[in-house]
Amino acid sequence: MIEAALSGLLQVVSPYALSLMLIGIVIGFVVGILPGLGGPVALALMLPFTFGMTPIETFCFLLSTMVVTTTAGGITSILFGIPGEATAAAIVLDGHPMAKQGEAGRAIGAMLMASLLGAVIGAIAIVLSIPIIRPIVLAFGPPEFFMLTLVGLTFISVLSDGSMTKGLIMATAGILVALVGIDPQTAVPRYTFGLLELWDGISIVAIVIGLFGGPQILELMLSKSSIATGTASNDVRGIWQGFKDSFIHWNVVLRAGLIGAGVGIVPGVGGSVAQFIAYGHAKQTSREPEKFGKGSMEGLLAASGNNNAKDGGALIPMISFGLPGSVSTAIVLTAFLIVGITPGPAMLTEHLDVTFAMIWVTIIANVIVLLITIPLIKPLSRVTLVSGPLLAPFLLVLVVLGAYATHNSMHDVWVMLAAAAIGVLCQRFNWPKVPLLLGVVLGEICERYFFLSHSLFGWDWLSRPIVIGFAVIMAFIFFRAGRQAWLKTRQQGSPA
Amino acid sequence: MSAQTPFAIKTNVEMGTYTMVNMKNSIVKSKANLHRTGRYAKLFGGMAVLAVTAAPAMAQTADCSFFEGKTVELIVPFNAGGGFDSYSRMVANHMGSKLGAQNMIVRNQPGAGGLLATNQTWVASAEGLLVQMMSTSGMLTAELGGADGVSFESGGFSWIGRVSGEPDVIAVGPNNKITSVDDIRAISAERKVRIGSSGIGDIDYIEAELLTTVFDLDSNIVVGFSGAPEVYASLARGELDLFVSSHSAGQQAQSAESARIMWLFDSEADPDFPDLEPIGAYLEGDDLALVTAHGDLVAGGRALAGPPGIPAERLACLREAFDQTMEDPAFLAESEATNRPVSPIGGAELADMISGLTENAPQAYVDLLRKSYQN
Amino acid sequence: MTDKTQKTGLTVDDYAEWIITIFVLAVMVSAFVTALDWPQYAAIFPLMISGFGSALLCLKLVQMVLVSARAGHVAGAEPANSADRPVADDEPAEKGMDSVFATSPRVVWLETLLSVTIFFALLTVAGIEATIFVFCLVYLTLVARKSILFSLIYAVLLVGVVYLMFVVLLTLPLPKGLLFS
Repeated sequence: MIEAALSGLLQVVSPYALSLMLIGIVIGFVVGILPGLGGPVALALMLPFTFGMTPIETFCFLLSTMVVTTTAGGITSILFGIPGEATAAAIVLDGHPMAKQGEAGRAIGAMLMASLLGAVIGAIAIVLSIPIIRPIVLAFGPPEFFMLTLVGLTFISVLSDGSMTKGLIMATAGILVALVGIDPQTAVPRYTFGLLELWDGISIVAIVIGLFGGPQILELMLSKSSIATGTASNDVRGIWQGFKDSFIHWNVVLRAGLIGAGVGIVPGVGGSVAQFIAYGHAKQTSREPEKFGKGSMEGLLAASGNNNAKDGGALIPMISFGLPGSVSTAIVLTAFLIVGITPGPAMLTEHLDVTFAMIWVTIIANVIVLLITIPLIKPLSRVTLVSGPLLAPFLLVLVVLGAYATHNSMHDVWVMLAAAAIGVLCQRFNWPKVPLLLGVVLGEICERYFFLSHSLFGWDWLSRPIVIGFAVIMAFIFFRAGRQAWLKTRQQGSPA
Repeated sequence: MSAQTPFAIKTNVEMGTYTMVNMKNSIVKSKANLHRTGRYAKLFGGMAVLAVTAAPAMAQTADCSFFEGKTVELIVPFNAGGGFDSYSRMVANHMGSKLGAQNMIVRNQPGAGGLLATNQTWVASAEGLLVQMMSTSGMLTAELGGADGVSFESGGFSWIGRVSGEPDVIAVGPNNKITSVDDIRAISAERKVRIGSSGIGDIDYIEAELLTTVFDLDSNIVVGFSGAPEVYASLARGELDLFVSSHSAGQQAQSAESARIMWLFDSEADPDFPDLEPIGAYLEGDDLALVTAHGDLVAGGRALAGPPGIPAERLACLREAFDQTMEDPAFLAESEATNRPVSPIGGAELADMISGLTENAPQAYVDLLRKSYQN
Repeated sequence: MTDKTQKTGLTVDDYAEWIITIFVLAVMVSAFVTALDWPQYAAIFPLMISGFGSALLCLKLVQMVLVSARAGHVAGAEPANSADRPVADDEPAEKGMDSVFATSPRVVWLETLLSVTIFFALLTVAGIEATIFVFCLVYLTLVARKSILFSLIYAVLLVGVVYLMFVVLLTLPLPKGLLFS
């Protein structure tokens, strides 16, 4: 294994490979900043240029892009409160409040370092599991996927901002939104109002952009002040503080990374749930849970550390089975096939050096992104000092194009607008947004895997070991959340 | 809503054709050769190839001056990055110059499994500046099966040419004991045969129904998977017995040791895939006719078409440009190097084929399709 | 906007709580009823979910009725957070009664909503490039009180960047607007 690791590394640090990585990073950065445009678009455009490249050169080119779009999306999330992609929503929750308090530099620094650490954790997870990857992936079937979505849903209890009833209501509303579209079991259009555009459901990206980004823009236009209203710490020391923070709270980053890697392995489900489990778990185990959602460093670190680790985890089923866990990994898979790499056992034996090269690329790309962004952080955080109305046209264009680019259709722009309206109402009248998002993200997956489990196993799947394990975890989460809420009510003496 | 979540993609139609086993060795060799010529040369060589193909168009027999200085849009009815999309981009890269146009760009218009884009192309302006890569089998089955949401007639499009058309294959799990059709029938006698599918109305669902009919099986068609890779994972876990998918998806799964490809879903053997036996070998009469009809339909593959009513001369230009692209050495080199083999059919022949399919499909087949869609 | 009305003594938040609860309940119930027509497998989940949601909302309504009978106000104190942690002076208030949404005067709201409406109307009719141009000019001069020159430069730059990124680099389509399609 060591020779493969070294061989992979050597092939990746050649000047040509590094320059390809650099090009990939720049492209990924530029594309990733725009919400809604992410890995898929950039990768699809770069595919034709991989003609003629060796496999390892192809990864250097493509994987570095994939890595960077997540990080760049994190920057928009922090600065503007507009999530770069659906998986960056958790970063907005605490990253943007920090920017508003004048700590944009610190937040970006923390996010970058936590992302790097998360990538390393994800990489270590892959390496350690290489001998047992295939049995692990095979052990997870529809019943386990279903239980995982349920675990994600139990975090509603933690992320409801104080009112669990409202949280549950929003979550059910979110699930209903997720059910819009053609039913996979019977091909009946559900809640589509006769519109063909709704057959594939309502675009999650458009919802995320609108729900979180819309209110922020409106706020800027109403208040006419800049994003950061507090004293701005836009000097470089802020970034280093951010770096330090991610080491101070190393256990938060570690756990978020482990959760990301572990959940990311589960193809199809992993990515959507991971950020909520990581964030929710961090909140539950934090000593200052009430800070979450208001600029908690722990919250930001949990959200950031989880992202790249999850991408690393998603590589596992892809390499070993050709099973893509996300849209980005699907495109990387296409690239593999174009270049002549076949996912399968060979990737873990004869071609182990190629697998290692992939892992090295993700780590090195993260380091390069970190280094490149350092000089940019100061000018970037200056944006938070610009007066609101000046930013408004730019941000409006950003969200419109971001929503439009998901499917090249104005339809998604209207979805975004509706989500923005809902976001504003939620914020004004204290209805929690995160459970709504949880429901939207998990609703359809939950139903699909439930029926698949039933189709394949009847009711026998309830006794599978991993299923029971997840059920225990769920019970634990509920119990803990319930106890926290009960303790709080006792303290306050008023109903929740 | 199976194509909606960020991580669910319909890959059974989208995945490109990658004939791994045979081509792998030659690719390794040709890559080694490329490697020796210098790596920077490769990147620039690749770009040079693209630059050369942007050179002025070759002589054409029809008057194609209309296209000069204009941009032609190639609509792709699926998301960016899948096999379908990458094939389309490969064509777009080379065909624009053959046409004499300024360029040909790809526009993704996903939705409703391709129906959204197809419906819109059906009513689009027929100047000749908009064409679409069609998933022909998908549109034909939807139309013949009377699916909701179809507002076009396949035969009416201005067909330009078929890019690729690989047959579908029947795969079984890597660890199960199936070695013959009789084994499947034996399973059916004891319990329901579990056949996987990405969703009702998908091609693999129709094929599952077909298998059930022609082999008289007691089957449980398991739907709800998000795409072929997920079904193959289920097959690998032993949860399913059979799955019908595109050859390339099956090939990938086989290389990943998730499946064993057993038969070709066709009535006759295919010279491109000499190792695979067609299931037609085990059938006769009406059953054989059903499989034949379906095989013909799947042969529609991925094909380029424009809205109905493109003026004859411009259509001729498009068809000619297409044919030239399919024979262009640069295009073929890219096709081979990137594992995207093509098997072209010209526009006129394709148009006849499609009309034949829509007008003369056997009633039993149409009935089966209708049953699949109105389930 | 947080003044109590004189007659009923209820705040806007109270009214909103009622309206939102009842509205969401109506949506859930209609979702439930629509699902009754569907085949069994298609209907199970939607029925379960909308049923559960409707039940929760009814429960909440009952709770609200009880609370309002006793205390009048249904929109209670801020969610638990503010009670356990004092909000620092320089921290922007984000939620509920202290948020920008609540404290902004009606005029500002109207101006903002009008601007947003104009933006999206322009977008639908004329496409993104024209929208950017016109909106930047109008909004920046009138609302942000910048000079016409500034707004013009801003507009040109923004259109330029958008064009460069989308049309030149990514060859992606831009929203075109009804006039141009």
